[in-house]
Amino acid sequence: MTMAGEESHVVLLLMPTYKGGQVPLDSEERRRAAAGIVFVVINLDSLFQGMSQWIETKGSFSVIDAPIMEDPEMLLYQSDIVAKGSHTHSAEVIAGGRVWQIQFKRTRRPG
Amino acid sequence: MNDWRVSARPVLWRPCTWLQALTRGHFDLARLAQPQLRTRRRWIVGLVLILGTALTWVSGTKVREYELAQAEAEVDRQLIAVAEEVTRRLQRYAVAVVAGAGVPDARATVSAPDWQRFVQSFQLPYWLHGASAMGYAPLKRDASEQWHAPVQRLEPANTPVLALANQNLIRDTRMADAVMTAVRANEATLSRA
Repeated sequence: MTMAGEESHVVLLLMPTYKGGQVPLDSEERRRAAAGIVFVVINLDSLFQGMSQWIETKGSFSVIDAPIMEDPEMLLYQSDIVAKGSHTHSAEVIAGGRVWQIQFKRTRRPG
Repeated sequence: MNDWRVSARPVLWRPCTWLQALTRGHFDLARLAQPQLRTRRRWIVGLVLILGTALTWVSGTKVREYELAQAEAEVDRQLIAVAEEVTRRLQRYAVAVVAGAGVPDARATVSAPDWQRFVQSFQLPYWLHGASAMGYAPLKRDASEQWHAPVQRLEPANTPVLALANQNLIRDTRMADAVMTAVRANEATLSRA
């Protein structure tokens, strides 16, 4: 998506609204009663930058959208520092029906 | 006579006495001082040197292994802290969209001042760090049962994603899937724009 003239990584968090303001109990009923979508536009660069000074200065920090079912892996964010090497630390964030994998590679081994 | 072996003898004596006790008399310094046992003395000195070197190497290796394990644990600690912070921020966005779902009235319309007031109450850059804008798009189905969601409200007015205004939010199958997943589950759902 283009943000202020620059290409940027953006995700949307979507929440449905239903006719009459009531949420039908049945999922098929919900599909029929769906009236609109409220969404928040999340700029991934703003979200992840400044998350941890330690992480950002010690190595390469990236976030991959690792969907449960569809699509291949997608890179959501890559820090400025790019570290080579195979040893990767990772942690997962599960939210909004997605699994985001946070990966970290040291620029060099300690010691 | 300034012989180091003589001056070192009292220092060496006590450990030797212990060794003598431990080895039940087999290690006897007085006996080792005899000239005919020179070869054995050399062996013992060599053995002590080798043992010392080996112990130094082993302890150095263990210290390095410990330091590496500490460094790895620190990385894991920092990553977990980042994951927790990302989760916290995503939860805040989810709270915001759930609250936003309460803004449309019974006719599923959202007035511009209502939406502006609602979004301003969040103070986006501060309370929702990383959020560029909040929007509302009414869902419509055309004759061919295709869903459309033209973006009707988008705040703040100076958002860098202003290009989204009046655009159909459901531009591809990925977004259509995400919208339908959110509708069916009635849950906040993430999707690439």
